[in-house]
Amino acid sequence: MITGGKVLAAPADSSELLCLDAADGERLWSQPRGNGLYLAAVLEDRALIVEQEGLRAVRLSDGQTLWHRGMRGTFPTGRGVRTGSIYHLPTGSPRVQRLANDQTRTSLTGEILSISMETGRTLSSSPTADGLPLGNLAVSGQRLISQRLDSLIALDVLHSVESRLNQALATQPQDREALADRARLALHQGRTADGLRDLRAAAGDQPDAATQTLLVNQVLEQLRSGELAVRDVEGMLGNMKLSAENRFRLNRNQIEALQSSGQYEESFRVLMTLARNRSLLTNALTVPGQRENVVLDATSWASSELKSAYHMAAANAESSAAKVMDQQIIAEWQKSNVEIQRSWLERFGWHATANERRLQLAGQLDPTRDFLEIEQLLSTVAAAASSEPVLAFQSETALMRHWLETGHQRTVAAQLNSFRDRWKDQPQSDGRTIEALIEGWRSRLPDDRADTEWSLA
Amino acid sequence: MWRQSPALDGMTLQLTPSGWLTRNGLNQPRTLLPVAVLESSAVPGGVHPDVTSATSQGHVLALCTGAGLMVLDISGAEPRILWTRQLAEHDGRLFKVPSYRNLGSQFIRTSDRQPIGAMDFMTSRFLVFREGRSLVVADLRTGRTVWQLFEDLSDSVIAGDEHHVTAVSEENGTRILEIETGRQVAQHGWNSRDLLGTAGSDPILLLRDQATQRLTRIHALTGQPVWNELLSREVILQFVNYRWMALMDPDGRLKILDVDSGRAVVDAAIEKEPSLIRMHIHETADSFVVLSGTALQDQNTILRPVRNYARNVAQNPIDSWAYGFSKQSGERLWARKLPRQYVSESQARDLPVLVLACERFTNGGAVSPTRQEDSQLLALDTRTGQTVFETAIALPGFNWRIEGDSSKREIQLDYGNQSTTLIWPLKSR
Repeated sequence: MITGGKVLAAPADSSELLCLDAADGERLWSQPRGNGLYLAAVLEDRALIVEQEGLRAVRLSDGQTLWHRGMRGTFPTGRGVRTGSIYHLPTGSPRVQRLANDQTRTSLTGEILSISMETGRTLSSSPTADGLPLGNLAVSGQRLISQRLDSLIALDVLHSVESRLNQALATQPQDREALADRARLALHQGRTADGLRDLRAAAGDQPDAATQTLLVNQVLEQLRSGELAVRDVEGMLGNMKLSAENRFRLNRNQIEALQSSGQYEESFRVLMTLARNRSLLTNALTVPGQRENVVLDATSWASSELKSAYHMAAANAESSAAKVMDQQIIAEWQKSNVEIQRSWLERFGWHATANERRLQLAGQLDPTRDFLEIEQLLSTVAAAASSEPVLAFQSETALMRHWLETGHQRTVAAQLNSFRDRWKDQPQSDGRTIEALIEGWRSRLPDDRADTEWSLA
Repeated sequence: MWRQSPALDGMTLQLTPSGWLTRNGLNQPRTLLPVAVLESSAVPGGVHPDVTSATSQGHVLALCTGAGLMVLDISGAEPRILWTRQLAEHDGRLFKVPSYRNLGSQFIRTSDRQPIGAMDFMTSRFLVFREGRSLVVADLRTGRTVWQLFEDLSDSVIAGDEHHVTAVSEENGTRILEIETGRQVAQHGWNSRDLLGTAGSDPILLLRDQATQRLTRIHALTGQPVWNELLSREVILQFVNYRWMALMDPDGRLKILDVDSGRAVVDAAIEKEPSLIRMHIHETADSFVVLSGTALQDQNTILRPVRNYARNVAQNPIDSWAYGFSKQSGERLWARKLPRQYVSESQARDLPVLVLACERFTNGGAVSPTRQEDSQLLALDTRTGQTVFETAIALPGFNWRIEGDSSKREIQLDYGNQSTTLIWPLKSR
């Protein structure tokens, strides 16, 4: 790219972005390109670089980064185009769908992202009409053309779409669909105030899914840019009824904001509220993880964040704070409800009392119907022999009994020697020796001498 | 800690026209999944016999059928399918791409190099595999995706344990991810060229300088050595059953280390072999059988391996010494010279017999064509090293198979269209 007497180059065989003097080819500066994919556009004093997981603007005079914008779980699917100070980038987001049989299917959802080259702010993102990702974009007259692997697509002229929407709204000012479309256009063009006004009017109290998501995206963007405070979010959304997924996205953003400002106890409180609402975690299928390109199950995310907030809060606060959090966590466990116990372990499987509870749950399950689940629970506790030897011993003996009671005598027989080696020094509560315990089990096994006949012993 | 059902301990898996068989340590077959079940379950992506693999934990068995996964509960009399998943759509043949030093699982691609995936490892709660280029951690019992990392990991070695996933590649070095969330918790500079194996999530590295090489197990999180072993440059190494590291010095020393602790369970003098280039180790319940191969050539005779029942199993040429070592005491039990032969990596673990088999050809050089001589088969008693059966037959190659029946105290050895029965206790010839 040549601009203002400078040549910007990102050679394919180099890991650097180079800025050369157009007059004599002298290198003015160079910057490591990192995972930059391509040099996208130049606007006045800045160049835009599209990376695998974000966008970066660098100053033309010295190559310094002006802003960097990560794209959470979204990837460029082609080259974009600049219109004025806005860069429009075709992107794809992996979306994991949970199918009826509890399996998942991953697909890529296509969007166009409009970014302000001045601030790095996402002005808007809109799904493509057919949901599929677009390829390289180009402007031809007033049309936007996109190249896909198997086709070329021409998108409608922007100003003719807007005049058509204006005509429709002149006769029907409450047409929510037209309001939402005009809002989308305004947002893509960087007219944020106009877009939000139309969007709120389109949303009402019960917005459709697309309008709601667009509005929540705008709220999240304003939270990110600091134009909106966490406490003002509810005010902006009013009494709007949000889907579980959008409610989850807002809560998640709130939690991240609290954690980044060191308010761990408060973030733990919000997380507990979120974790108590099991439908929120079930319906919100996936959320991007800490790395931009990890898609993480919502329950696993909540569990991980609870663990992190708990430990940070306990480290920062008085010991009474840890006690309060422990009480809250333990209060979620219900002795007689197996489903709640399973859910507790999904959310608090990291807690100091988790292994004790795994043992409790294993004891309440049906040995035949829940054979594998019991085996899993007890194996997990037994693996903690170095940190919780008493529980691990109890668990491994429970596992032996589980196998004996369900007809898996050969499994027990194969484990006797290693059980003896591991636990020969472990005192038992009833005073019996380990040998006596093992002999008791051995008496319930079939004669298996034939199976060991070949051994060297 | 207990890891798997005895039904799977020492097992090999075989796909036959009648269904999927497991073979136990005596090589006795047991039908795991009849063809009818395979067909009725609509195996995702079809079954591709050349690229199948299996892994197990407890009473859960996971089969990679090529382009799909099938996870089974094998605790009952009949296996029950817990879940299936297709790794990728494809049309065409599938291939396993050998990884550097054969580390980790082998990645499956189509003939035009499109990525299919790989089954990597299993813990008590998760199955870790690659779907296309991405990495997936799924709940073992339900198949629910816990997390998925969308990154090109097709050239990485993936390993791990109950807590972490280790991904090692040439470009990105060694990354340690939390198994429950995919969060990266550590990164180290060692790449796949340094990697010799893994112990759970800990990398085992071979670091070389001009004069020495250092074998070291690195703690996945801290990057600090768990144990170190300094070696001369000439020592050759072999990772055995993900548990032992064997080090053979041409100067006449053999060590077998337990990779958990770095402790030498065998540290013994052996014959000096200046031309040593390879070894083969067969582990039994109580001993290690160690065979060595040299770079010495016989210009007159060419050997080729013959197959046993197992598909796609490596066959190693050996031509020098063989030893037996006790696992318990580390003591040398026996030693003998062997003729040039091939040894298959698939042997019956609980049979006291090791089978070597090859075809022999006379090398006619550039003047006259190569001529088949015969096919040779040799069976050793793993407890004494003595020959218990030996034959040469004029057949252009043959398949062999061995199977034990402990109740009859018999071992049946089939080769070509012939067979012999070895009676316990074995007698040397």
